[in-house]
Amino acid sequence: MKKIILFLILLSTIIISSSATEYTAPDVPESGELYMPEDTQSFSEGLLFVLGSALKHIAPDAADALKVCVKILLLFLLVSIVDTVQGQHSMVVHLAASVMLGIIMLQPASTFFQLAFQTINDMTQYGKLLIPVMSAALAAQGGITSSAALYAGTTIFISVLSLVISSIIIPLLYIYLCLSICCGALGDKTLCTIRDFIKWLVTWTLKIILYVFTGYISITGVITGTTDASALKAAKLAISGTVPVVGSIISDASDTVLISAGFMKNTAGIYGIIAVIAVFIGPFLKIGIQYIALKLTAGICVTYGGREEVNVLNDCAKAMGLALGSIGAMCLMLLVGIVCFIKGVSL
Amino acid sequence: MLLAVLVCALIGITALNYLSHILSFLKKIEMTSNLNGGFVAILLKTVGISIVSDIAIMICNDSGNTALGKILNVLTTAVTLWVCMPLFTELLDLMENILQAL
Repeated sequence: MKKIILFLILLSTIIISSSATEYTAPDVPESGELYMPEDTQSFSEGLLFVLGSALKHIAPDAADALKVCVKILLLFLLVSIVDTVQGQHSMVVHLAASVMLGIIMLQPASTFFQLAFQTINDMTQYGKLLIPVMSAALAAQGGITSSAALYAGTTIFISVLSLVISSIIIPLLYIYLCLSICCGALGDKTLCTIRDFIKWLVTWTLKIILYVFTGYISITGVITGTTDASALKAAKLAISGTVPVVGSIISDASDTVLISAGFMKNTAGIYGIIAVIAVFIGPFLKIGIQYIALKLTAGICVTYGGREEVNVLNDCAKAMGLALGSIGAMCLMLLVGIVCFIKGVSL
Repeated sequence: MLLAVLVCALIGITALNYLSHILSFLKKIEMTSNLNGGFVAILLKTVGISIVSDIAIMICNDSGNTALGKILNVLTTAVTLWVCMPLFTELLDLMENILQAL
């Protein structure tokens, strides 16, 4: 009698929580619908479809980036001709040129920063819907300790990163751009130092958050994974030892249930990964193209443009790079978190 | 000194003939790039003010009126910054709009 009751308790911890539940990833956000494939069974095909769709829709953004760069090139040409006519390096002409460059760049830069802000929000909201599903699926697979630890860590770090980027980094990027324009126009060393400090601060903030997150996930994964694997093994041994005759059959059946739960978890995880990439890829390519175009333009203008204006242009490109880094960091954090959930427990 | 001023004026008028072609090329650049015409005009005005004031300062220095040359320098700086004011105002308005959006 005691053995039967013990068997029922052990069986319930493994089977009941997983048998009647379906774990499906939430639908991709609106911003990623355009790039999302219909079929997400194959990860590689889904990824290729997302990349292909993103590249197909990039032409208008490339044209806009080109227009801005042509405007900048012609401004540099104008300033260079004016400088030649004057016959000497004029502080006022370069002040006016730096300000004009700033006026040309501020509006598109603002648009890209807003796009980065929106993308971070979309990825954060999607992560908040996906992570609980993955956590529940991992718990159903037997990874009770892992799911709790991964859920807590991933949720906290995603929230912290999202808050830091939207409340601190994006406003700092605006300040960085304004300081770059003032530094180019006035040449004041204090302003240039503050500008460099802001760039250093943004870069290291993102790095530190990612390093700490990766460290936490790695250590948690090893410790809790081992704990859950040991607990599962012990439970199976207890079932096959406790129940006479059919103990091993029941233990094998529980394996099947856990594997099914793992399959559902992996399917949801793969959909989640493709969805996160679909949300991330469009804005990444838009800002990336502008970044590359500005870098190329600065490279061309250095041959005939003033040093101050070329520095302003380089700083605009760096600001785009920092925006790219911010959305890349959020995407990477989400992907690492999802992969850790998919890795789950070794059965 | 009067002769120097006269010669400078004649040379300046001759240079304007050549500069007119450059100005029409600059106008073409302005139309192609869709840059704000007002800003290009500001740039050209600052160059004009700078050239005229440099010549005037040198004439003053040549004739021994160094103090006059110095005050002319101060006047040139003030006028140039006044001419550039619309640029700074435009930049400030843009920054204010961005701050409000934040």
